[in-house]
Amino acid sequence: MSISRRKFLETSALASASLMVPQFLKGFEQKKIINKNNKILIVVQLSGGNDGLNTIIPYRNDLYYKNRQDIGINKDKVISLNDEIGLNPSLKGLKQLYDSGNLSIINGVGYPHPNRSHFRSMDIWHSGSAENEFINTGWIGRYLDIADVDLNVHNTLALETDDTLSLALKGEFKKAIAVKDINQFHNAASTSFFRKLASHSNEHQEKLAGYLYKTLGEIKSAADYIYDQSKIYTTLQTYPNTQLGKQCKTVGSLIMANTETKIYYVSHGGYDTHNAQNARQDKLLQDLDESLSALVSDLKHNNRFEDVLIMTFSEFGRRVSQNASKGTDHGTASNLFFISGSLKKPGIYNSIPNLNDLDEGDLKYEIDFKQAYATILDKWLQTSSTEILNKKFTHLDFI
Amino acid sequence: MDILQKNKLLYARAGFGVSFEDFNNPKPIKECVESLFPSKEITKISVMSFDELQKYLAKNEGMDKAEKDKLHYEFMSFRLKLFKKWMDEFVTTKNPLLEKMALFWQGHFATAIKNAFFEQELLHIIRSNALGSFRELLYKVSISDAMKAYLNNMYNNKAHPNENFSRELLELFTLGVGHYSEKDVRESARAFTGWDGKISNNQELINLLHDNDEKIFLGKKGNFDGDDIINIILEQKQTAHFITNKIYTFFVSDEIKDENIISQLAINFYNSNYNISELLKAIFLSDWFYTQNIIGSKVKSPVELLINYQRLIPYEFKDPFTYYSLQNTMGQLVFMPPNVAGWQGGKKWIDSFSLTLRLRLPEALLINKDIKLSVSENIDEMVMNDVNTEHIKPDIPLKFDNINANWSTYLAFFKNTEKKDLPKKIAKFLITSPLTDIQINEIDSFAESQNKESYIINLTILFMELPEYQLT
Repeated sequence: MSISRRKFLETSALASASLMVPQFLKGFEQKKIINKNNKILIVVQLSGGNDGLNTIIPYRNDLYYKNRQDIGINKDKVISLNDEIGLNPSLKGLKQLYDSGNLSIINGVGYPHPNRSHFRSMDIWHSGSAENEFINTGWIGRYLDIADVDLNVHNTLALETDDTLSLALKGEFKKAIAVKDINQFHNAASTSFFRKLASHSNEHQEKLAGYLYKTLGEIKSAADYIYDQSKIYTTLQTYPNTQLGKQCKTVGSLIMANTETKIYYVSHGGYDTHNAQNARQDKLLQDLDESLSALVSDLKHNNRFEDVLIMTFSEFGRRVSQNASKGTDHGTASNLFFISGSLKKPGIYNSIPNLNDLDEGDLKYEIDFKQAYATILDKWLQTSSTEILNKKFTHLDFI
Repeated sequence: MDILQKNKLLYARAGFGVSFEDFNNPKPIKECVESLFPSKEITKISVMSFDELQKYLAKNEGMDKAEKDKLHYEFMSFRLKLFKKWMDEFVTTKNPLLEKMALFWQGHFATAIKNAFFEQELLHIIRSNALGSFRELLYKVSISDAMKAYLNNMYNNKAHPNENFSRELLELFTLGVGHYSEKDVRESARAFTGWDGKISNNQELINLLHDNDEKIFLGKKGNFDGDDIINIILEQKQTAHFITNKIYTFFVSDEIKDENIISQLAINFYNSNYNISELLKAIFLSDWFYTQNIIGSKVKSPVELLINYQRLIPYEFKDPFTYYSLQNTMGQLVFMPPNVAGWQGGKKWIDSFSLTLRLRLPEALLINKDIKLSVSENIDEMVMNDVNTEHIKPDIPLKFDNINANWSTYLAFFKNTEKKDLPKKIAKFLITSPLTDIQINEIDSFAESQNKESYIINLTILFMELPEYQLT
C-alpha cells in the first residue's frame, strides 16, 4: 500500500472514530505527527533595533565613515568578508561559520513604509502583517493553527524561552508554550491541587471553562514533558553565563533530547543604542556571537546541525547618520543572519542597500521580511506560507 | 435565576464582584443598576502640574548622561505615582463601573506615551466622560496631547499629511474595517491637518498648516476640518453599531453574540445621541442578560482579577513597581496597551504562563507563600529604552514579602457560618457560576484545617485558584 493511501486510511479511520470517543478519553490518545520531518527552527529576536550598519559594515564606503565620524568602526578592526563589507569585530564565531559555509547574510530586509516605533514595528514583524494592517495573531502562531499535529497531549510544538508569550507565537486557536525556567515552571504546575485540577482537563463541556481546563491539562503535560526532556541530555559544551547563553543551553539540551518541539523562540534585549553605542553594541554582539557559537558547536557535536536553522532579526535597523550622543536613532531596513548545517546559498546573499539613495536618512529595504518567512515556512517547515501569510511571497534560495 | 445569582452576575460584570453586604442582602436589579452610576462629579486623579512638566522638558539640555538618567528616573517616577493612584481608586471606589468603563476606554483609545502629564490628562478626559456622551469623549480624546502624540496628528500638516490618526479613527475608534475607503482615510487626514480642535484656535498657525481645499469624505463634499469629520462619522449609524458591539462583548460575553440584540441596542444608542449610560442601563436592565448561558462566558482581565482579590482581602505592594511588573507579566499593564488596537480580551488573556500564574497567584499575594515563579522586572519598554539599559535587573521571585494581606474583614464575614457550611458558602460567594457538590467536596479535601480561620483562608485560596474563578 502506498504511503499516501495508508495515511489516508489512518486519518479517515481516526476522524470517524473520534466522533465516538467520549471527550474525556481523547486525552489518552497518542500524540501523532503526520508529515513529520526533523527540521528545527530557532528564532533569535534582537530587541530594541540592532544597528545593522555596525553589524555588517561597508568598510570601503566613504559615506559610511562620513556619516559616522565617531561611531564608524575602523577599517583595521572590521573582520573582512570581501572587498566591500565585513563583520563587527565582536562576531568572531560568526566569521568561522561564514568560512565553513554555515552562515548566510541577507541584507536590506524590511518592509514598505517602515514604522519607527519599537512596538508597532515589532508587531509588524511578529504578526507578519502589512505595515497598515493589524493582525492579532503571529506568524508562528498561525503555523501552529494549521500544523497537522494532534496537540491534545502536550502542546510543545513551539516554545519560547521567556515567561510571557510573544505575539509571534500566538495563533487564533493554538498558542506556543512560554517557559523561562523549566524547573520553576514544572514546580509551579506540580502542587497536588494543580495536578488534581489537571486530571479533570477533559471533563468540562462548558465552552470557556472547558477551554481553561483543556489548557491546564496541556500545561501539566507540557511541564512534565519538558522537565523530563531537559534531564535526558547533559551537555559538555560550555555556554556563556549570560541570559542568552542560558536560553541557548536550554534550547540545545531540548533539541539533543529529541524533543518534539520544532520552533524555539529566544530574545536578546538592549539594542536600542541612542547614545554611546559602540561599547554596548559590541558587548551585546559578543554575547550573541558566543552564545550562538556554543549552540552550533553543541549541535555539530551531536550531528544535529543539518537539521537546525537559526534566524536572527530585529524590529528595525538604525539611522545611517550618527546622532549627537554618539549613538543612532531608529531606522529601517537591516540584516538577517541564517545559520545552519544545510544552507543552499551560504555567504553574502545580496549587497547592502545603497548609502547614496536614502529615504529621509534611512536605508531603503530591498527584501521584504515576509519573503524570508515564506521561505522558512514552505521549504524548512514544509507547510503552506500562503495560508499563513495570506499572500504569496517570492522565495529566497538560502535553503 | 434567583435574585442572589442576578446580583452576583451584575456586580461581576459591572463592578469587581459582589460585596459582603449585597451577598447577604441582594437587592432588586433596578435598584442595583441605579446605584452603579455616580451621582456627583468625579475627582481628578492628578500627580503632576503643567508647570512641573515644563520644568522637566526644559531641564534636559546641556546635561551629561548621569544627570539625564537621574532626571529621566524622576520623570518616570510620576508615571508610577499615577499608576498607583488609579489602581488605589479601583480598590476603594464606590463606583466600580466608572473605573471599569474607564479601563475599557483606555483600551479603546489606546495610547502608550510614557509621559505622566499627558497620561494623567487623557485619563481625566476618559474618566469624566466614561459614562457620559461618546460624542464628547471622542472629540476630547482626539484633541488630547496624548492622542496627538501617539498617532502623530501633531505632525500632520498640509505639506506632509500624516494618515496615522485618521486611519485609526476610522478603523478602531468609530466605524471599523470595511466601512470606509482608503480615499476616505486620505481625505480625512487632510481635514485634520493643523487641527487643534476649537479650544486653542490659533488662526495664524492653522492658515499655515491646514489644508483649506475641498475634501470628499464618506460621500460628502466640503472644506472640512477635524470637527466636521468627527460629526460626519457620528452621523453614521455604523459608528453606534461598532461601539455597541464592543461594549456588548466587554460586559456580556466573549462567546455569545446575539446580532438582533446588538442591533436594537445600537439603534437606541444612536437615537440617544450616543449616551453611554443609557446603553449600559439597557443591557443591565434587560431580561436576556440574566440567563444561564451568559454566566461563565467572560474571562476576567488581569486587572479585574487583581482588583477582585484586593477588594476582598486588602493588600499593599511595598514597591508600586512590583505591581507594575506583575500587571505587565499578566498581560495587562494599564496606560500601556500592547498596540493601537488595545487589549483583545477573552481567550487572548490565557497562555501557558499566564494561566499557571493565575492558578498560583492567590497563595503568593494573600498568604505570602513562595510559589517559586519569577517575574521579570525588565519591562519591554525599559529593555528597549536606551536610558534604562544599565538598570536591567535580575528576575525577581514572585514572593511578595511585606505585602501584608489583611484578612480581618473577610474572616469576620464568615464568623457566624458553621464550619460544615463554609465550603458551599465560600464557593457561592467567590464564584459566579455554580459548582457541583462533587467539585466542592474535592476542593474541601485539600483545605486542611487546624482551626476555623485557617480553614476559611485555605478554602478561599483554593477556590480562587480554580479555572472557574477566572470567569464571570
